[in-house]
This record gives sequence, structure tokens and C-alpha cells, in this order.
Amino acid sequence: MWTRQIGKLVKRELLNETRQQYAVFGIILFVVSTIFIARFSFKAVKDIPTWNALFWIIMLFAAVTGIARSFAQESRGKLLYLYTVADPRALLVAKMIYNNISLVALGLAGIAIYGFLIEFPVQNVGLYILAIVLGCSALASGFTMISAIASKGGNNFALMAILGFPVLLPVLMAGIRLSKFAADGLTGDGAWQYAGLLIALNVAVSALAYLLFPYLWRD
Amino acid sequence: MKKLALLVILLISFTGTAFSQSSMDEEIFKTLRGNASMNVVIVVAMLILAGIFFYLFRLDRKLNKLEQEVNEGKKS
Amino acid sequence: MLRNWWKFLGVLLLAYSIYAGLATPLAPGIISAKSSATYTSDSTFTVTVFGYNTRFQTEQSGLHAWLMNNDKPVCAIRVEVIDETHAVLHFPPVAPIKDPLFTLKMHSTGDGLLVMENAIWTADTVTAGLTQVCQPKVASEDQNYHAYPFRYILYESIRNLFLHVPMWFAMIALLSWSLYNNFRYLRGFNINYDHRAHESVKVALVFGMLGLITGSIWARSTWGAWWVDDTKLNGTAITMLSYLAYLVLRNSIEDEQKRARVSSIYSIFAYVMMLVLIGLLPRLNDSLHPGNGGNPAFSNYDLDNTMRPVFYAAVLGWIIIGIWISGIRYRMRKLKEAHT
Repeated sequence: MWTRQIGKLVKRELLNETRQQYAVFGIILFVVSTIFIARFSFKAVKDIPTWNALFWIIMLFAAVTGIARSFAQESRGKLLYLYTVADPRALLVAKMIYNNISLVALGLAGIAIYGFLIEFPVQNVGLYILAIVLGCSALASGFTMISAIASKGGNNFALMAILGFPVLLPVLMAGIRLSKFAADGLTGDGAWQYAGLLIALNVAVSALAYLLFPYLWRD
Repeated sequence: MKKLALLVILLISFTGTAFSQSSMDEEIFKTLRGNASMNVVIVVAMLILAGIFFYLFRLDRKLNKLEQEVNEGKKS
Repeated sequence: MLRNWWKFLGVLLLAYSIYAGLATPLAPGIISAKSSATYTSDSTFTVTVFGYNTRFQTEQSGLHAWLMNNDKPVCAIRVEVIDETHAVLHFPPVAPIKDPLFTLKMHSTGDGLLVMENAIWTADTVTAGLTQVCQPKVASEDQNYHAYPFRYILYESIRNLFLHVPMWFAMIALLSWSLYNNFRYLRGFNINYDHRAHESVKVALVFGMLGLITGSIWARSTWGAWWVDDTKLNGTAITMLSYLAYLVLRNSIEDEQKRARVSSIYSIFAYVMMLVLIGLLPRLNDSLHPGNGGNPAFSNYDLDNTMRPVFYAAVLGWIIIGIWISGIRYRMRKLKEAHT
């Protein structure tokens, strides 16, 4: 029952996106043009920490712009309808799953373009991809909840950034550290510590969102 | 304001007893660390007190305004 | 009067911590030691010592001094006392065993054991053995006086432990109090709890600001910069940003109940992330603060038994003051709501 509901809601999200193709293309365009700006302003990034941090900052802004619409795009009537036919929590979980998938995909596409256009000085590619998957997934879960909160407070993009950046900074920091380990080709305890931290943060944020959402959706 | 001044004087008198027991005259030490970094302690203490008192004064002003509002509300 | 006992307790604790924090002297210690010779193995040399709070003159009869290299002591032939804080130590020729660095130790019954790590450097190359090894006469290493520990570079500013650190404890306590009220609000939707939570966040931010400013000044004198790249410092700054965001969020919602619900949820998020930022990340990272990244914690090194009661009094006192102020703010808020 639950899984079917969530499955249907995820499918609905997907259909929504394919119907509004401009939104998907908009995000991809956003990432590509930001990377181009980085390319033209830096020429070549020789310093690995800077290269790494720049990528994560681009991903952070992509996540905000992408996920800000998650709750805001739905009209009040449509949301009310969804809450009556489905469990509100199922809707949250569905949105989280959808945002997770899309942001991880965006992250992987992003690093491909970023590596192609600027450079790719990574020694442990597998770990770097793991860092992107874990980091983007945690960012997506966090920003889904923040988007639900921000949609209650006037819906504006600035509010989303103000609320999201400080709260999700630990996620971003863990992601930067882990991918830095990967870029340097180090796979010690330090790297796995940060991988564990990312997973723990993702679980904690998701669990909190799941527990608190019932208080949030009512108007 | 009088209370604040009194507290400042009290604090300074305490710090006076705290390091009057020693006579330091090493030049490098004096120029580098002042009086063994005691000035840092005094500045920090003063800042905390000033901050808390400033906040309390602001709170006091707010309360005055509120009292006025409440009194006017009763009259009308 | 009896109802307000905890306020009196807070004031008393704070008064005690300020009095004891400033009036207790600093333990004696060695500030600097200068060697008269670059090469110490050729001939006898002297080391001029400057002490702080020491009583060289009073303790002249029982004053011993020796240099340590690779755990082997070399005693001074003669200790020439100039005044209470100045002494000239005469040493025999000595070559180092391992590192060309000597740790200076001095002992007297009144001042106890004074240690200065790596006090003297020699240009001599490392040789097989010390020429003269002695057994320093130390009756007891106990320091039988009531004083705060003497720490190189920190010196008197160790007292800031009672001023700067309690600001953070007060902030965290107020934020925890706010979190508790958020939960209480979400259980029964009683708007009063939301007001309590809101007011205590405001007071917590004041303490946070004070903590940042005082920390910045202390950092300037010990670490040499107003703002150091430290995990704990950045973590607290970001925590404050997230609670400022909480205030912005509150401003953007008109309806009272809706505002309370939404901001409570955000505040719970912010609190959990604060735990990660202040509690977890500094443990994974290097930090200049005690207790992180290999630095010793308060419990076993920096906070000795003389400082502990004063520190706890200061922390508890400031927490009580913070809760008190937030209570006053809450009552003002209620009064305002009742009359508008």
C-alpha cells in the first residue's frame, strides 16, 4: 500500500517534470553556464582544493535552484487534493526520492561537464563518484525539507537560500572533505569517517523530515 | 550608569590585587604580553559586562514603552 | 522571595566566579631563559632566568635548577639569585644526547616544580653522552599553594576561561531550552511555548555575539589573529547564522499558529545541525580549541582542580542569568499580547 502510493507519487513527479521540460533544461543549463563562467574566469584551476570546492559550490546552487520549486510549484489546491488522497508523508518521501535521484544524476552529469571543460585531477575516481552520490543525496534530502518549510514562508528563493545554507553546511563540508580525500587518492580511516558522516547526516535529516512533516503540511 | 561604574571600579581593584604580588621587569615580556596578558582578561570582562548591560538597558527602554501603552490602553 | 531562589543562586554563583576568577593568583612559572653561550659543550655557561610570581629570593636556600636532555638531568653548579623573579644559573659544559634542546627545571619548596620546555638551544651537534649527570634533589613535586596553572603564552589570560567559555555554554543552554519549548509547543499547540522558544533564541544570540567578540580578542593575544580558521569557531558562527535565519523565517509568516509550527520545525533542524557542527565535526578535524583533534580536553589538562569549581560556577551562573533574561522577555511579550 505504502510503497505503491510512494511509487505512484514518484511517477507523478517524473511526469510533472517531463511535462515542464523547460524546468529540467533550465537546471542543466544553469549548471553548464556556471561551469562556463568558472572556465572563463579561472582558465585553469591548478589548486585541487579550490577546484574541488568550486564544484561543490556550483552543486549547492544547482540544488537550491532545482529543489526550490519542489513544493512551491504545486498550487495550494493541488497540494490539498494530494493530502486527501494520499498520506502527506508519502508525498514527502516521494519528493525526497525524486529529488535524490535527480540531484545525484545532476551531480554526475555536472562532474562530467566540469571535468571536461576545466580539468579532472582526481586520483581515486571511484571514491570521488561515491562522494558525489552521498553528498548530493544528503543535500537533496535536506533541501526537500527546507523547500517544504520555505514554501510556507512566502515561497521566495532568497528564503530558501537563507534557511538552507547554514543548516546544510555540515553536509557540504563533509562532501568537500570526502571528495578532497578522493582527489588526493587517500583512502584511510579519515575518508570513511566522512562517508559515514554523510550517510548519518542523510539518515538524520530524512528521519527528522519524516517525523516533523505532519506538523508542517497543514494550513 | 552608577552601578556600572561601581562594578568597573570593583573589577579593577580585584585585578590589582591579582598581580601586584609580582614585579616583572623583563622588557621583551612587557612589550610582547603587556602585564602577562591580564589586559586581555580585563578587556574581555569589560566587554561582556558592557554587552549584557547594554542589552538590559535596551530591554528596560522596551518595557517603558510597553508600560506606557498599557497605561494608555487602560485610560481609553 | 523564596520563589526566586534560583535567581539569587545565579547571582551568587556569578559573583563567586568573578571574584575567585580574578583574585586567585597565577602559579609561579618561568617566562624566559637566556643562555650565555651558543656552544654549551666547550666551557661553563650561565642561563639567565626570568620568572613570574616566583619567590627566588625567599626560597634561595632550597632552590635547585637543572637541565633535561633526553630524560637525563644536568644540575647547575651554582644558583645566583638576583631578586624574586631573576636568577642566574651556572652550568658545567654539556653536550646534548638527542635533540639540541634542553628543558629547564627549577624547584624550591615554596614555588614547587617550575618547568620550561625547550628553554635552551645549543649549536652543538648531538654526541653520545652527557658529561655530567646528577640526581636533582626534589623533596616533593606538589605545589602547596592555591593558584591557577601557569601556561606559556596564555599566562593570566587563562582566566578568560571563566568569562569567554561560559558565554557558549549559556548560548547552548538557551538554545536547548528553546528546543524543549519547541517540542512542548508541537505537543499541544499552546502558543505560549512558542513565545518562550522565540525569546530564548534571541537571548542566546546575544550570548553568542558576546562569545564571538570575546573569543576574537582572546584569539588575537594567544593565536595571533582576530579570526582563525578553526572548526569550532566557524561552527558556532554558522549556528548563529542558522538561528538568524530562524528569525527571518518568523518574520516572513503572518499567521501566528502557522509561524509557530513552521519555525519550530526549522529550529529543531537547526539544533540538530548545531550538534553536528559543534559536537561532531571538531572531533574529526583539527581544532585549536582544547578537546579536539588531539588537543587535550578541559577535563584532564587545562581545567585543573583549582579552576574547575570556578568554571562550573561561572557556567551555571551565566546559564541562570540567560534563562532569567529570556523569562523577562517572555513576560513582556505576554503583557504586550494581552494589551494589543
